[in-house]
Amino acid sequence: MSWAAHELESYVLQKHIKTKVSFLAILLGCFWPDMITKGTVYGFDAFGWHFHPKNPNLYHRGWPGVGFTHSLFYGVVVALLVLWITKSRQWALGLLIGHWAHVFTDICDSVGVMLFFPFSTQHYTIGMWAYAAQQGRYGDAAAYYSSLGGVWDLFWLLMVLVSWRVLTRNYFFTRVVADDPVWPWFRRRLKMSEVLMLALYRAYFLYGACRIFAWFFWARFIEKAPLDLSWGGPYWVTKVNVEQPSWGEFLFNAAYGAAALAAAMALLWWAVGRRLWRRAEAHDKARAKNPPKAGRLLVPAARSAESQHSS
Amino acid sequence: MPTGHDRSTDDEADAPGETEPPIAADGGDEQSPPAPPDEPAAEADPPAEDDAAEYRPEDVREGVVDLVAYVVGAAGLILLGYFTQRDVLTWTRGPFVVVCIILAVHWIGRRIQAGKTGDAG
Repeated sequence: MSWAAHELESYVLQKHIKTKVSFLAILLGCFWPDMITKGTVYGFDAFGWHFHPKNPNLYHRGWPGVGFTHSLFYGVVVALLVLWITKSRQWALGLLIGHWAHVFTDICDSVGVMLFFPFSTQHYTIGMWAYAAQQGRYGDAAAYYSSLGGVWDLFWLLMVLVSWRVLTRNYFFTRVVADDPVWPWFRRRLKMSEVLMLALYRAYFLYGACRIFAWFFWARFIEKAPLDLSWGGPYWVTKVNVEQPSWGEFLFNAAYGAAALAAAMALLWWAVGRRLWRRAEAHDKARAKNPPKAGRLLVPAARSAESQHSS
Repeated sequence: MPTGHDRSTDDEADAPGETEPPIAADGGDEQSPPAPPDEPAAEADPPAEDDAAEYRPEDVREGVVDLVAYVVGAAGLILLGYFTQRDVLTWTRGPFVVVCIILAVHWIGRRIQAGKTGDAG
């Protein structure tokens, strides 16, 4: 599993998508598969009851288990539900993009994901670093930040830094806020200040960037875990692998899974999706004709004009 | 300027006579570049030169405070994370700590500024 990459990729994705999409939805989508699973993968105690999966990797990524949360079809279903409930195309699309980004990112570890579940339970993985959730949270952190997993996080940090404009105040107010009705709602309903809104937006970048270094330093200087940047490392952790069939069977399963997923998505779109999409489109048009006053976005010159007008 | 989009759950937006403070980008960003030419900043109608003309001393001060806040936030999170690990480095607590540090630094900055100008408020 990836650690900081999931929050960092949200900023890059939002920038490069050439349509209106909610940053918050992308961020939520990037967290979504692990939000309801990761806490339980490591085990927890509640009300005197101890829960710990016997086989964390099967529980987290396999079937039976909660591995369906890391499948492409699950993202489609959740996005349709969001479209139905919120009538917001920006949120449905953002959630789908974020979710799929998470799923594709998790292909990199040694367990991988059931990409085409429920049509196939075959795992897809490139085995870049060792899946180590069975070691518990700290063991997992030590293994991840001693392997190419840490490099993967750094890659996404670099990607955000290259796209540094996404962190500017101007970008936030002209792109992020403008593309997402939730931010004006925060402003109006929760009376959030600009400083707080901007801090919230940047917080996941700062958190993602800082946790890379905090865990890395912890693994080096406190845990004293050896660094191993070889493919599939680190060598010192008991690596979990999934059984893979022969190449012929693998390719057949992949082709079948992809075709079945495409057919199911087309069917869902034809039966439900297009209607929900049109409804959301009509909703957007109605809103555009009669926009809420609190949704206004003022940039410096406009604010100046307003202040002169009021004085 | 209207965002052109809103959610159905945003019911209070239609409340008659409701007026709210507009969301303003006050140009205090230390970077504050104009939108890249390849990305249509659909909602950003003022030209870039107006942005530059809007810089005021208080905006610069605000930018400096902003920068200090984020540097302190980053340093604080790395140090707290190094010593406490998962007590801080979770996806809920980490950002919460960062936001708290940033707001605290901004609050201190405002107090210092108020002390300098003699503004009790």
